[in-house]
Amino acid sequence: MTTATETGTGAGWQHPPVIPVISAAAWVLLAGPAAVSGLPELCSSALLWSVPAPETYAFFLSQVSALSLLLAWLLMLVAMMLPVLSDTLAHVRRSAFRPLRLPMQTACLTGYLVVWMLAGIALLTGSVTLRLGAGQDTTLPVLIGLALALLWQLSPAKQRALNRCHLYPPLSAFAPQAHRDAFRLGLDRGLWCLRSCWALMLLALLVPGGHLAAMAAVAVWIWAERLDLPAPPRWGLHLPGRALRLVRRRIAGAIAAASPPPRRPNPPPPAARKA
Amino acid sequence: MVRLRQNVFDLGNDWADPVLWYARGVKAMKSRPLADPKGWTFYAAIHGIDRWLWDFYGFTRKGEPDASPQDQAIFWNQCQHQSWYFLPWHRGYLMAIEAQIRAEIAALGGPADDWALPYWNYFGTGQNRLPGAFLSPDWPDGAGDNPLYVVQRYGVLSTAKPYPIWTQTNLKPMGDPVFTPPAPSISVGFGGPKTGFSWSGARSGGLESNPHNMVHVLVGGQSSTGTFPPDAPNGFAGQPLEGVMADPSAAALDPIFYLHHCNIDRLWQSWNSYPADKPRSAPTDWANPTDGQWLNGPASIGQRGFAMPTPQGGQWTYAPAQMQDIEALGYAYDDLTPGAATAPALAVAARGGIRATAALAGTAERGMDKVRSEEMMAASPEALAIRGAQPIRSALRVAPVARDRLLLSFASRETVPDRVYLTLENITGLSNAGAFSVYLGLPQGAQDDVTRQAHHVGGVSLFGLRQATNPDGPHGGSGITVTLEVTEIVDRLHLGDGLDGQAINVDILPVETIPETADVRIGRISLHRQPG
Repeated sequence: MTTATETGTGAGWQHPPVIPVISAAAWVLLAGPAAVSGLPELCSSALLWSVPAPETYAFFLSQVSALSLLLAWLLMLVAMMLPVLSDTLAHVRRSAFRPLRLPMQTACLTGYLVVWMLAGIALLTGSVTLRLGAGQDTTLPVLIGLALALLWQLSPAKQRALNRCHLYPPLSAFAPQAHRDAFRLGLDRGLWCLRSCWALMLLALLVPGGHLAAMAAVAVWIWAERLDLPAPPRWGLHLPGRALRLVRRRIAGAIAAASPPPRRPNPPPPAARKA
Repeated sequence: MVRLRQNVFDLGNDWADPVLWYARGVKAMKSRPLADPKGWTFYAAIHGIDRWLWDFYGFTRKGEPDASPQDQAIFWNQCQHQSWYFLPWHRGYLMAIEAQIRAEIAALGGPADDWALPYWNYFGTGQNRLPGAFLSPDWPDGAGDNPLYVVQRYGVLSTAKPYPIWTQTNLKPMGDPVFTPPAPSISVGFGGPKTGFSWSGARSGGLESNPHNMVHVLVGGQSSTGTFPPDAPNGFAGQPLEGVMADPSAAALDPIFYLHHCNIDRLWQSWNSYPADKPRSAPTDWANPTDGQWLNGPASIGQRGFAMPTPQGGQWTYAPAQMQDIEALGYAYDDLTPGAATAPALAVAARGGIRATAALAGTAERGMDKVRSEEMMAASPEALAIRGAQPIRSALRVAPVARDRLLLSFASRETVPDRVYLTLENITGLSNAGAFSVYLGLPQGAQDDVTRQAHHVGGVSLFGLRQATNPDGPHGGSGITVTLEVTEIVDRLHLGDGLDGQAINVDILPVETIPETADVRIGRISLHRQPG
């Protein structure tokens, strides 16, 4: 079936573009005043830093409702992760008979969110634990998060997980197996996505300020990583090469447009040269 | 100056001058080490390299230095497959190696200026066999070391004996007027789906599937006696030895590769321009894409560009926009007839009379709305394992409502009939050398050739399957998906009431034995309608 690497964008599979619209709305909510949604601060775990140390988890939860935290986490997922799920949902759509498209896409999305919601509990717990353990030192948790993220990003395990996010398996066409397959695809995609991105997400939770910017940066990085084709897993720095080349090309284009250099003639093809 | 690419069987004799000088050029290139950008193995690595396999077969020496990391990053593992870049990339590749061969011929004092590769038109009468110069380990004067000879050719099309190639592949894609349909259409067009840089992708374009992929496997094939050692890496362990032509990471080591690709390039030119008055329903019919992402190549979207070494030691970068006009590039073909009967008209019948719809077949003007209206109308209930050489049948279960929409379009005289595509999704496994024929709606027990041919959808080659199955490969282990147009067959089934049931049969017939250890599977088979 057509895949992310074929189209390169994941766009064009539905009209109107539902996923970008929902994701953008989530970002607007996150960026809006807390009085409107009540969520952004929670989502970015900013309240963690208002908790005096040494405190207990119970004290922390007395300050922040668990439900609000989970809702905030869900909003953050929609904003950050829905765009990278676009190709997967498109794959489900193309694999389904017309009446089953929406139910199967819903099953897939549910599986994906189940993984990340459960992961949210673990990541939020982890970030609170680090904060409580560090006492008043706001730098130490960030440094630990940074070290973890760096180590993970350099590891072959990270690349392996990223590679699995490019797998588009066959799905059964017939219910109820079709729904199970779609749900399982969502689960699998969520698990590999979590394995690929957990360290960056934890880091975003640990920064003491500028949470929205941190989340946006992590979201862009995750999206840019997915643009590259799978690569052999090995230790090393895996920069999102395609995105960087695109940016470089755009900048060069802008500079060239501002001050056009003298045109160099295109070198002739080999056939036109005398051997 | 225009250099003429000629039919290798029309040169007068097996060792006519263009072939003889090709052999001398290849020999000179083969004398260079792997790391030398002017060498034969370096050029083959531009297409794709599996170093373990090369060492095992002796094309490179164990421990022989690779090219520099910089040269590898720029040049190696570059071939474009399962992509709309397939044709333009390979055109540039052919031109680059021709330039290198000419440089070698010039150094030998030969007629370098007008030398060009010959092409192998395996559909031509009496040409469905390996050209003579490639068959023997000896030069025409009897001495050994013929550089055009490769031991690792095991396929049915690799001998002097003619093989009925039309039983396995065809030129039907030459009748598809659309180069690349709007993404994400189920159809793949003549030239392949829109992709980024695609060293190993998922879905081959029409011409890439048939005849390109199939000829690779029919020449390469697999050994009936030898196997790879049990400690071999990369999924080779215990598998039958494969011909180098069957593996994208070795194919360009075989000198016949370039004659095969010359024919594919010729077919592209033929599709573009022959005959000049073929039916056209939209300006985009029989024309190359005008999308900037195609014209400017994958470098324009931040991916690797296309680059070839030059005989002068430099680097030539190119994009598809530069590859469109073969004559402007200094080449011509002696003949643009495809070489076999093709079906340029999409014949779709309605009850009460046949209605040719060639003039309506293009999809470009109907664009994305039609693509969004595509739908699946039948699917197999489960995955299919292909083992041995026995035929396998899968009954696709039909969605009645979707089927009725298709029948409505066939019956109407006011609307353009739907086109129908059969897809074999997520084919995975460890064999590059397998191939099988696909039949749609074949009556139970039908044995006569006429009936079988009437239901023959086409051939499926597993060229590149091992790479596409690798979870850490460029496609994440999704395997390959093959899409074949079946409009004519479905229409005939419809006229014969063969679409009225709850199921449509698909039969798979392996060309040769597919080893059980290769674990070749088809994830799902499905049938899709595309509004006309």
